[in-house]
Amino acid sequence: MVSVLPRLGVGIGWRPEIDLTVERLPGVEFVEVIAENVRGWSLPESLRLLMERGIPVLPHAVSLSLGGADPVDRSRVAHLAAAADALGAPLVSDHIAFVRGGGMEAGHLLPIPRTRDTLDVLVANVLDAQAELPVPLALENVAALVEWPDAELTEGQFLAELVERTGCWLLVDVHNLYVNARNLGHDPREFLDTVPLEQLAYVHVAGGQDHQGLYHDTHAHPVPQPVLELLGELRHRVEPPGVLLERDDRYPADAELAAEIASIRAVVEPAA
Amino acid sequence: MSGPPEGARERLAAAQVALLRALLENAEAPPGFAPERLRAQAEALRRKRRRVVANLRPELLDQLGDRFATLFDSYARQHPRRTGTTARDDADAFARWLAHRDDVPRSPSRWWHRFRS
Repeated sequence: MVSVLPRLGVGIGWRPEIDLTVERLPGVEFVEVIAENVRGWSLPESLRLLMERGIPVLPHAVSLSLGGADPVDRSRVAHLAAAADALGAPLVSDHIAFVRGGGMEAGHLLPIPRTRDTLDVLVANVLDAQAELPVPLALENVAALVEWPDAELTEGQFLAELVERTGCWLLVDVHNLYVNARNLGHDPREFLDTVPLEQLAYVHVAGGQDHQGLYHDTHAHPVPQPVLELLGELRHRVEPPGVLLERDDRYPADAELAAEIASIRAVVEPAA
Repeated sequence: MSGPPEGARERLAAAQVALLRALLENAEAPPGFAPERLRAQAEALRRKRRRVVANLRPELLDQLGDRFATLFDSYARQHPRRTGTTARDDADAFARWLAHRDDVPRSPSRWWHRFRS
């Protein structure tokens, strides 16, 4: 599949709580908005302002449940497509995860078994979603506290095959790689060596916290140094089209977010 | 369009529902999962759900104080969020569950509070 995605640069997740901050932070070249919160007929003024400045606004979905056993819910895909149109977005994204089953909602992105069976279901769901979307779809690796038994593939192998069979793009979350290394003993370098980085759309960076012996993906704490080092490992292998900082809670002072954006830029755009 | 092989969706559905029931309804751990990890994940899911409801209904947090978390967790285990319901539905259902238990007074209602202040 031949497709060209734009260079995005360095960005931050737009959230209503930090709308003014995002508008005035220096060096923000693109933003992401939670797709389920976008209503095309009433976009927040802050997003309109960013769009007028020519800043790409990418809808990031959390509810398609593409790794779920059920066929994709067409109305959710239609909503994501409408969000992409309303925002003029060059691509959209969701996760390699499931969020519901048997009529129950987990309220969170849960990992899926890394088996051939699951991969077949995921591929069918992704192809169905892509058929209804006006722009390319990027899929993100998730953080997990639990490991499914009887994995037949590593996470890297699983994603590589997903890309090969669907032509989807990758949204690599280096914090989630760090979480899974800490909690599950996964090898993030094997992941980076195995996934097709030429299909990388952009990268997520975030922070978390230790809690009762596990490391949690909170998006409420500063980006730890090992996550910036993983971003550096990725940068050694490929120049990422974009890198985005996610912060969802316990918002710090503007200066702290600006410093984190600068740290990210220092890793991906080292001074010539 | 060719779908997944015969039975793949059904096998995955059975596995995912068993995990969801363990995490959301405190059902028995499916084979092969580390029970302490399931407990940690279940607790993280409830914490997230509780935070959302506390933000939507701060008056319940005020009224219940330290008992909010325990009561919410007990409600949550009995009532996993159903597909098609919103976070607001969840918050309203928790309030009704509390009222049914008489853990918060049925009145004063919120508008009455506002009248007095």
